[in-house]
Amino acid sequence: MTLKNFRAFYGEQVLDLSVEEGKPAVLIFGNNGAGKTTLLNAFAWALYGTFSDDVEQQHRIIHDKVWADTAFEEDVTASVRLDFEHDGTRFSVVRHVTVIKEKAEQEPVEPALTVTEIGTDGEAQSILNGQDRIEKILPKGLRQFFFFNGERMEKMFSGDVKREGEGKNQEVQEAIKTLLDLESIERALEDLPKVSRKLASEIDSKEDSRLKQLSDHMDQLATRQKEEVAEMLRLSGEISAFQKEVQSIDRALLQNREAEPLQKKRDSLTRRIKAAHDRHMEFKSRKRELLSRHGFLALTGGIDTKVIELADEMRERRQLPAGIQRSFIEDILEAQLCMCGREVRKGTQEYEELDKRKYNAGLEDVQENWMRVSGKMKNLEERRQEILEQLTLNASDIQKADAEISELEAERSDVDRQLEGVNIQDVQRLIERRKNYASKETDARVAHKEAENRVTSIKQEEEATGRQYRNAEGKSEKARKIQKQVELVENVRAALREILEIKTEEVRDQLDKKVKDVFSRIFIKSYVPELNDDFELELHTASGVAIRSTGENQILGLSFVGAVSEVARNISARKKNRGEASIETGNGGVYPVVMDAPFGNLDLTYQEEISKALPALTSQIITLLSQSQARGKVLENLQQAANQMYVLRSFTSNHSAGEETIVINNREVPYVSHGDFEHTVLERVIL
Amino acid sequence: MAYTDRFRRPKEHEELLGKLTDRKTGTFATMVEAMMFAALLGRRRGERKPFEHADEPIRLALMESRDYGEVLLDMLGAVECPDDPKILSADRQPDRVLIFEEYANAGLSHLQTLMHRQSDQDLDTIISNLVLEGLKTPPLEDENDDVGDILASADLNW
Repeated sequence: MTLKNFRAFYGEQVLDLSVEEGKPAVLIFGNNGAGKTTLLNAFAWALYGTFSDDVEQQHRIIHDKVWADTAFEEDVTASVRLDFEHDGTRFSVVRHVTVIKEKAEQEPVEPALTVTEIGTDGEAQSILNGQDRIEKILPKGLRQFFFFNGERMEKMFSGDVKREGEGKNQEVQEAIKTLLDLESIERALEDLPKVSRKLASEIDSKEDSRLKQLSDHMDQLATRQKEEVAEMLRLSGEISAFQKEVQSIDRALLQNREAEPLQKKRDSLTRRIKAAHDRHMEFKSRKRELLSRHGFLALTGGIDTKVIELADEMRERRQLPAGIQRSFIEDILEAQLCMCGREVRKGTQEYEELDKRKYNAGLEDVQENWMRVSGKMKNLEERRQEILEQLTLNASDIQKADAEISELEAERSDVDRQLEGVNIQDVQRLIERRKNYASKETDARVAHKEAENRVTSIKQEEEATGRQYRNAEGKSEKARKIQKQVELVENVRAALREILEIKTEEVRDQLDKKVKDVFSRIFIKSYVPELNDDFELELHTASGVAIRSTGENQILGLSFVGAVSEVARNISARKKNRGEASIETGNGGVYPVVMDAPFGNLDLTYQEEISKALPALTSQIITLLSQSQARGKVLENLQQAANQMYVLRSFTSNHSAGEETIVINNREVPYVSHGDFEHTVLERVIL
Repeated sequence: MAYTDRFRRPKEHEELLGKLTDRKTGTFATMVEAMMFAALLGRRRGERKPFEHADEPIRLALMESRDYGEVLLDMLGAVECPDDPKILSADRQPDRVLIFEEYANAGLSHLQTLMHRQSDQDLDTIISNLVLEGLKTPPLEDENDDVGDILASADLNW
């Protein structure tokens, strides 16, 4: 590989990747940030012109300093060149961008591709549609199995790409098809019915109305099936689009996860504040009720005692026996003569006594009122005490509620300070949107299932109609002949279907065996991996399916990569032996594997196991490692298999950063050095 | 026999009564309750204020259905005319109603003054202060109260 001004790599740098029997490894040591990811991507960029998603600033292909040193209106180039041998032919692939600088900032450019073929006779000739040729040598669909980041490997099988309702691991399925070149068979399966239709359409209803009717019906069914299948595809796209939305929302929410407990706390505080406010309002209205209904009683102090006093005075005055009318007394006084005949003269004591009683006599009816009113007065003092108690209690209730409110509000503003920079509405909106997309996804799944069911029933109907067609008594010679031809085509189709199934199963079986084999070499636990009929990778224990940890996933992924590489090689080797031509899926090639951080976040035991197993995975393996991943046994194992070793030496203009070295073969090799500007240099470590 | 089945409310205090019984900010649930409170406030201050212009009168039955509402007119009448026991007789009912009305008018005027003077306080606070004051301090004519004497001698004006 030759790099020129490509991203972190300044100037031209060459990476010798050749390997030998028994030494299939090339080790490249690099610090995080030194350009390991760039190097891994350089392979894929050279072959396919694209980067993986984890590459930042994808438009900045040309090294920053090279770009900065280029004058306006001058042209500047960055490129990656891969030289490799495939099936006895040597190829040179150059992917490059050449730009005339017009702005200060780099802008996205479409890279150009040159593919040159050097035949066995040493004649070089450029290939016109180079990308097609690359696709035949190493299909893009398989790139993730040959160029990968170990830290993201578990994602290959963690279900991200699996679609429910289809129950198949799409990516793996596609990869298998690419390996086997099964697309041609699939295309044939799709095209053959059209052949049948074309043949059948030569019979018109005059010749044989029954056959015509049946074949028309078949036409309709085919059209309907096409529509439904298209609908299913559309829905699948929708499902995965909605899924992506949900996942990206989840990622966004994850960033807010730290804030989540705080938000929960805030919500609960808000609820409590509201509750305290409600209580406050309740106490306030209780107070009003008290004041409104009984407030006036508070002001009766003194009135009650006065009324009682007046009533008592009345009672103390002498009174007439009940029933004696005032008019009776008045008559006696007027006549100055009692009914008993005795004189009652004015001025005598008798007269005065009667006169006094006359005053009270008129008060009889009033007296009753006085007694009633003064009776009511007796409890007033007690009532006033009650009101005082209730009001006091109420006042303390209100005070408590208010104190609680201000305490909670202080707490909430404290939380708000901590939540600064987190937009709560954002999170709530995200959650709302997530719900929305999740329900849309569910709807799409349901619709997909329905379409699937419709397709199934159309297929059944097709089969039945096909049978009727075959069994129908052809009316004319021509009709019978065509009937026969249609039947033949259908037979071919059935055979192809069978071939597809058998081949798929064959590869699955091979892969399964291979995965088991590689896995058992690496893994300590007594798990057995299995590639099931749906091409899903599972791990089994004695007690059933095991839950996979990141580490286990990684080993599983690694095993699978090894298995794919191996199986691809076997298949192409077999094809060659059988002298099959035309299908070029990397004939007998050595399949290289390029991996970054193959140990992800595994513990040491696994690292050692993998480092032992790696060289046996495939015949050319380029491994990018950071210092922390190259220690002790691991380094020893890898070095034994290494044909070449390189260090990505990063130069930094930040002279306050410490210079670093890495120990390889008991020698210190510069790793981070001071320089005039930021760039990375590939330096060979002499073994 | 003269008998009034309604009592009048002073037109002058129409707005104030509206405030007192405002659904949102008023302390009193009904006009009757506001008038009863005002009457006792007037009585406590020893003020009666005659008035001529009245708003739509209120049915006495409303007052009589309330706790102590049925003796309120009698109480006020009895203490207003201590030398005239007949004030409680049935045919003097209109007089008792008038006493009530005029006390209420005076009470309303006092409330109006307080609201002007303490415009920063809400109505509930003004009313409850009056209530607490009424509960904790004896009426002016009670002279057997030490606290009152001490307060009076200290020239504290309540």
